[in-house]
Amino acid sequence: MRKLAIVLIPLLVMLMLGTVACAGKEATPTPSPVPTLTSTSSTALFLKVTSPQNQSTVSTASITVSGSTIPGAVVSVSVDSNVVVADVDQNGNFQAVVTLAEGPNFIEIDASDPLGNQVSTNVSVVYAP
Amino acid sequence: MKGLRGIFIVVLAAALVLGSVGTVFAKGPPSTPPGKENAGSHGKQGFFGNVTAVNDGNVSIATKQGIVTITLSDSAKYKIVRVMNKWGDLTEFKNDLGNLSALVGDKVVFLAGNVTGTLDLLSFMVLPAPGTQPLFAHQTGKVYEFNAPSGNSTGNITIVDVHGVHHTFIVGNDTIYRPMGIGPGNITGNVTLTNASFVTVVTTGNPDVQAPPLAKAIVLHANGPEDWPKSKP
Repeated sequence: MRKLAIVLIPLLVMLMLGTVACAGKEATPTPSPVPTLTSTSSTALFLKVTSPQNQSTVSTASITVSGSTIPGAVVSVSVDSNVVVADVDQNGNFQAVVTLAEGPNFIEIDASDPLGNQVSTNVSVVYAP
Repeated sequence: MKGLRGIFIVVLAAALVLGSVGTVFAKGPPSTPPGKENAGSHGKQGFFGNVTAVNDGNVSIATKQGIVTITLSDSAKYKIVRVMNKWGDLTEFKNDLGNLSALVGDKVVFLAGNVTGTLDLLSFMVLPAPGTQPLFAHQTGKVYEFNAPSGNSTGNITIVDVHGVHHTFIVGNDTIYRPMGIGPGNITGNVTLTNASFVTVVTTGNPDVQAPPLAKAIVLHANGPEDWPKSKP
């Protein structure tokens, strides 16, 4: 029993040290879309953009904006004054294809629920052909 | 038996320690050299950052590649997203900005290219400050009145929101009509939105720009919320 304890105690110490070291080595967080306005009384409505990544450079003019929200939400994606209404599936996943102009592009994504609550976010990308 | 258990535990401990060490020293894929990660195929390069200084038409921007100083030139195009949601020349840009030093602290995005052997500015965009109103807004409600556009004449749509407030929007020939779950289409004289149709109107977010605002898109819902309408607050 005493021998077992002699082996187990260093093992536990090493495991703890390993865990601490791993925790301090987390990956650098990737840039996320910057929320601009949330004016909603509903806690259910949310908007998350997964693609494109904020502050990224793309080499094609046509890109797909995708993400998730609540099922039944209306999602619009705008670049300049052009608006595209996104397809939203039954799980709330959405996507819309937009066309970028060469150079900086400001993409705004707005979502609203049937009660009229709205959340918005945006991403900036550079189209460098 | 005890000896065997001891050996087993020692081997297990060694494996766990090696695993931890491996995790600590593991690194992701090698990073791209600074300044090359946003490069386009023709030497054009995108930059994102905050303006730190403006001096005689030269703008210094703190980017992830370091401080980049560019010259605002007549050959580049400019846009301030909140002020003018369109591209303009340097004169328009200066007029809208008032004073170039107002750029300090702003978030900007720009494209530069190696055109003359140096990094030349091609396009320059000033982003909205965090927390500002979005450019577009959604208004949801039941159709009270709808007049489709005809020929060169615009139409209009009036909806009643959940609180009983009426909202009127101009409907143009390029207004997108989009039933939920069905592909996009443009509104025409044949489209009928009946009274009590439940819709969301996508419009410009700044009502001061145009009154009534233009409906950029009208999304027709299959049906409205069960508890519609609520009493007026």
